[in-house]
Amino acid sequence: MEVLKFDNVNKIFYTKQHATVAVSNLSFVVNEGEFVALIGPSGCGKTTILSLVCGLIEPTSGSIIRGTTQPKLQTTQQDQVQISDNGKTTVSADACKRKTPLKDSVKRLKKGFTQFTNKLSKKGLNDGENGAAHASVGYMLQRDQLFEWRTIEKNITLGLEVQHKMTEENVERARELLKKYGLWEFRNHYPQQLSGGMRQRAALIRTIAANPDLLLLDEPFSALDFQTRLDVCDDVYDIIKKEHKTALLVTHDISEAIALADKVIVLTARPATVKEVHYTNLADIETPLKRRQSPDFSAQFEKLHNLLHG
Amino acid sequence: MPKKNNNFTREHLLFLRKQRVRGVLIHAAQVGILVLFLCLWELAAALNWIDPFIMSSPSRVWKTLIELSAGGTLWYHAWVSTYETLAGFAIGTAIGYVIAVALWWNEALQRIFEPYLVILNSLPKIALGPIIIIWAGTGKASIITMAVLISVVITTITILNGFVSTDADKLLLMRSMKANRLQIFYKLVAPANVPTLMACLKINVGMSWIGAIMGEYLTSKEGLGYLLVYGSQVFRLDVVMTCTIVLCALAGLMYGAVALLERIVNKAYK
Repeated sequence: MEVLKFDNVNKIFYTKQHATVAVSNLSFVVNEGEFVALIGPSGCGKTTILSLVCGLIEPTSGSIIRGTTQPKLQTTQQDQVQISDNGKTTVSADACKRKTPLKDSVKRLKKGFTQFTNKLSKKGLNDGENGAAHASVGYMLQRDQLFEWRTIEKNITLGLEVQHKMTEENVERARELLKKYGLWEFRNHYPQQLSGGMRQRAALIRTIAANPDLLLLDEPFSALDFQTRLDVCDDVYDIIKKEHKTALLVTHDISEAIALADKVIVLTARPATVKEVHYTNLADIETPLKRRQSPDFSAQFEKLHNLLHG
Repeated sequence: MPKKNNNFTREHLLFLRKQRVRGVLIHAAQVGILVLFLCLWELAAALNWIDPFIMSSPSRVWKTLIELSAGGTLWYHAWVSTYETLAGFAIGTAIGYVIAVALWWNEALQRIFEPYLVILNSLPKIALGPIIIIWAGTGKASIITMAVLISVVITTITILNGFVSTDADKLLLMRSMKANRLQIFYKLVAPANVPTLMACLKINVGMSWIGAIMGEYLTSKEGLGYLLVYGSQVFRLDVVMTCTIVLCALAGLMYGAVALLERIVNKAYK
């Protein structure tokens, strides 16, 4: 099953002086469970492709299809706030019975606020229920981008909060991820109290917690020093495989692409288009670090290097 | 986390001792300068190097302070000024913040109002004094208006600058999560700019005091500004000096309170 399909995608940017073709006739496919890497020379329109995958910008022509593979997360009560015609918020009767009056009014205020939010955003999450076929993309950026005023646990649930998916079940899942990947003791710490590697792990868990169909990784290790980088690379690979995620890595680093991906898509210089699709066939070697040591690795590196610079 | 002292090596303890001594010395120097200044002032007045009638002296200030506070006059005037300043401070900051939010929300609005902000910022607000008096009367309202006017523009500019320079990658992260503008504001932009707000509050302490005292110079029957003008008109420099010193103390106190708030709030933003 295809999680992401670029079909003859073109993207042209216009400025006062000229029109720039950033992406031209770009076609590729990311299948479910696959780890795909996109590599290209610098300035090949990497940012444009990332934004296209995320749906932050629309292609000038061609189509981008995102297929859903993950079961949809349950949304919270708040999302289903009943906006009746007179604009009043209704609170269910048993909720009033269980909670203390103060808690209840706080809850009501929160509901009103959410309702206000939803009204303000026309394209907000209301269409999440209608357009169910639209797959979600979890974007992991170069730096961890953890919010320093939130604890690790609060950071992890940011995506759930934004998407109104803060159900007990989903929060419990996020907490399980924290436990599973050794961040449980640090859940009440602030990001600045964690090491670079741990922060990057936390960022990955934040991305996974919202249960996206596709993980989009934008050079996630580039901000780390070399030694940490190799460790975190193994770490991230391990988590992605354990959680059975589909991933698309966009990078300049050839060795990283070979070590992590099943399939490496080599792009040309701008306007970006596919030059070659390379299969690494290293799936039976467990970790990225061990793959780097395999005899096949340097041959592949040379081939991709020549493709990029030749 | 501070550990127990007994875990430290000798060198470490020595280092800590040095740090402490240094801290004490700096405080001592700060207090020393004040004491030295007061002593010199007193001495110069006592030996008639300066005319105590024009320059006053610490002992005369002290006498005036006792005299003025006995009837409660001084404290009444001090309270009036503090009240006006606090009102101007709160209203100015609030309005400035709201305008900054509105301008951040809509980029077109921001671009439209940019030249107006620049002009309003460079305009000496005291020039608006006569207009304010005609519009808001000669009471507290016009003084508070003056304090608001002085702090509101700088608040808008400072806060808006903070909002606009919110980390682009964090914004991208929020957008990739399909957050709407309101969510981006209250989950990212507002909390990320708490330090900006705190810095702005510090600036506004000074701004609103300037506004209140200037307002009182222009028109008032009470307040420290009034007392200052009155003192100079009847040539009682003791009163003028006393008021100035009380003003210093009040402004320092308010700044200290805001700085303390900043330290508490900014703990999470290291």
